[in-house]
Amino acid sequence: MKKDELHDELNEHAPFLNELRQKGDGMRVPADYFDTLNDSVFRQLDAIGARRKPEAFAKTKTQRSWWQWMQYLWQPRFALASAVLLSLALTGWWYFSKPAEPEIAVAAISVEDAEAYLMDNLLELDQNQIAMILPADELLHISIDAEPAPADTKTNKHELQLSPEDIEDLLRDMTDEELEDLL
Amino acid sequence: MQLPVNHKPATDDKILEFLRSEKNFERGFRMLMDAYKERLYWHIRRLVTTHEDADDVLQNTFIKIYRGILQFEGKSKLYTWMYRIATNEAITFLQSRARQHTSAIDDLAGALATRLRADEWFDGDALQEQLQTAMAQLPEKQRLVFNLRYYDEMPYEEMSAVLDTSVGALKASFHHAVKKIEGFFRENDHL
Repeated sequence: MKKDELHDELNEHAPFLNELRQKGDGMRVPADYFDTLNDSVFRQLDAIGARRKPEAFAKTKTQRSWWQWMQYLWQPRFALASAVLLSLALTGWWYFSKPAEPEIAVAAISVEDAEAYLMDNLLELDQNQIAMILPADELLHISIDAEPAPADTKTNKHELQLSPEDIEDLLRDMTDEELEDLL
Repeated sequence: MQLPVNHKPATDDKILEFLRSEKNFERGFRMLMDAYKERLYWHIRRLVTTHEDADDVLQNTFIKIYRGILQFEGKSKLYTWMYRIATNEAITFLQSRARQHTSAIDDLAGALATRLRADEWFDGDALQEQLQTAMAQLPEKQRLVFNLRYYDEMPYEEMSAVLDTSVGALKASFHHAVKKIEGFFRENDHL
């Protein structure tokens, strides 16, 4: 079929070349050329140091196409490792990106609840804590004994000395338990 | 893995199966050479004309194939891939030889005729020698197309894969080559 096509093609354009083609090209090869060619090629490979050694083979074998890489990475061990790494990354991202909890807790407590809590636990607070909570103009320092606080404390400038009447009023408002705690 | 026991050429799949096995790589390469060496030799010989040059180019071709066969991805036929390597090797050889001549085309044709007559493996008559001389004067692409079509009877579709050229362009190249060769014979009073 293909020969007929070529025959027709040549006959149409150059019948002379079609006739010449039947005679062949006049080229020959030595009798044992093709029988010895394989060994000649391997001798050449040896001579230029290109004959493949097992380690060179293994190195070349790992040069995969992108599709072979995808198939290789799709093996269960790589898929499992990828899933674990992805989970860790997502957990880390969620942990570090969420808002700090204490701010939410403080924001959620009403002013009334905060006042009630402070009043209930007033005796548990030290002077510094009270100074941090109260506005400057309402700062009250109760000094039962007359000794002043050390001069370098921040609260010194806000200290007030209570009169005996003030102390009596305060004591009157206190419960028995509070008095016991105070003593 | 069983090696073929008869002399029937192995299929490409079988050859590639052997080549991908570390243990059988060398046997696979021998199978590949057995299957393709004659076709590749004649393709190269008709481009470079003398047996000695064809032998050099063919051995270089097989060395290139040996080095690159594990990167062969099967996107084209094994035969097409090797034909392309052989063609490039032959063209590189011809270009380096052309650089050695300073060189009007007549000089090149004259040098070729001298080499052909000196080649003990060419015993063609005057017409066959004239045909080789006429082919040597063709532009590189036309010469390739003429060789593949006239001697190897390669279909245009397959040639298109080897030379990466459209079928229409290949048909036009062949037609021009035929006309030029015919003109060469006419000028030399053979027609």
